[in-house]
Amino acid sequence: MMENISSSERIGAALAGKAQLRPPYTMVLSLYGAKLIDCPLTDYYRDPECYARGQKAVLSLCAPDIVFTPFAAALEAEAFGSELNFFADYPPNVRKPAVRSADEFLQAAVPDEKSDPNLGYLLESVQCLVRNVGADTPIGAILTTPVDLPAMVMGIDMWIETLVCAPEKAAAVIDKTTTYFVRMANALLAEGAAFICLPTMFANPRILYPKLIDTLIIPALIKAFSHVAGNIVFHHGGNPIVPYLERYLLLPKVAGFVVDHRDSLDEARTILGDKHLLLGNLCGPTLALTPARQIFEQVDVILENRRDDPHFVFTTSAADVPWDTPPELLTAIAQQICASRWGA
Amino acid sequence: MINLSFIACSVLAREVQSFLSLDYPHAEQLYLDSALHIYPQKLSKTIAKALAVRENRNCVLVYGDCSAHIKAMSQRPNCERTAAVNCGELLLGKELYRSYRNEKAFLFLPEWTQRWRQIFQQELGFSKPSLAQEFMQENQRSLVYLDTGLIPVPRQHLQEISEFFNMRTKVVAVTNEHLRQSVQAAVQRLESKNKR
Repeated sequence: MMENISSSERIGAALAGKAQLRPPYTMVLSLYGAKLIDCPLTDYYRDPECYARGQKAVLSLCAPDIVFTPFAAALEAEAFGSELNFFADYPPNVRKPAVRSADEFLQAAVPDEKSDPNLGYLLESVQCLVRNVGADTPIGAILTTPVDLPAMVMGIDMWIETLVCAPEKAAAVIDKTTTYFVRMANALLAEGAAFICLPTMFANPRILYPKLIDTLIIPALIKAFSHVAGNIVFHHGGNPIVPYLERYLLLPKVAGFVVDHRDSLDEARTILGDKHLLLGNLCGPTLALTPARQIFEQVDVILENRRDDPHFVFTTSAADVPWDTPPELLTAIAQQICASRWGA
Repeated sequence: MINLSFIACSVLAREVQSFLSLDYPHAEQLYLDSALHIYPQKLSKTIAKALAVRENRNCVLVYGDCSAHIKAMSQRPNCERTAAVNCGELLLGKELYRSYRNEKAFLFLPEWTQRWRQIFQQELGFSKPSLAQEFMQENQRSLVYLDTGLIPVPRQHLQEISEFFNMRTKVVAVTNEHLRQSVQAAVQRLESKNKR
């Protein structure tokens, strides 16, 4: 059994399916870093050095085995021209989409990651993380998929209408977002990200009907992912994904799947077989509202359930752990995981 | 108006037929398969083909905004379309449709209800009830059958639909008056267009 190893080695062991004394773990603490360093979010989501300092504080607080780049898809939407709301304790969101239709989207320019300030921020955040956390902790770069980005740029309702009523136009929109996605994904990997993490909503049968997913969405993602020069972690995007997980196995370059807190880990593993990483599944956004005792019980259940799964990485599911989550709770969860003994 | 053709979605065939022969006894009536709605490109091509062979006729499309090209097609000189976003609004009128939409009610029209398995299981791909239930319950709060009074309420089908989606269905009686007025308004717009 492996002990006293770096986070990179721990994740590597999970990828290889090597038994470890305790599972690797992380939590979605992208936002939380700002709280730990008392940094206004208008700075945190604009200055990559601020972001990296926040993640360094996250490492000091609970030593996760993976740190993430900013979980703020709205910044990509802003690069396309959408206007944002900034909040005191929540990531920015889209206030006004850049365009009102697929036709307008097809006319609009695609931002250049070499010159756009938001895309530059995302890329530099990787550089700053590498400098601040070193080579010992893998960096997960969060990016929006080509099938989700249009929703941020033209609005969710308009994107759904385009997909359902004008799929040929939706395909043209996705072609455009794919060009952007591949460039950004490969740029993030080139800066030092260990993998690309993709929260995905518009491949889920809760959002779109299955035939549209099978005929338009999955083929588009297959094409996009095939051009990514590294590993991808497919994230459930806020919805359970086990019902459709078998279809997602068609996607190339995917090393692992983050499942929803409502997904069954057993069912997920049965579908995935023994090759893919399985990540999950403590609900992150409700941590501040849930009694600590209940959270520790949930963590225990998850750890016990995955005791014999060497390809498992404990993580919080869904979006950011909220601002008002007590820091001592996060430390306690980390300690609980580190104290668990697999194979014992 | 002479040489008048109505090209309508079959989802409203019974309803349109109930007044069209009275209002426009000499008009041609063509009904296109409502399942084409799921394939907007095919729908566009089918409508375009139907219009192409009726170049010398005055055509009214009894459709909503069902495909990306339908607006352009209806802007041709001797063509008009009923003014509504979809068949639900055609039957209910704008205000009532909007209120059902705000309440997140999924509307079942009689024709689709009778072929619900073909539509949902085969055409839309909801082969597993669990997927269908998650999709419907995520996006809608209720299932409403619009009873236009032209066939007995298909209770067996509605029971099957309720079980499949694990949601209760409600039956609401509607008249064809909004639909009829919408068709008449489209014909009037076509007449005005021809006069210009």
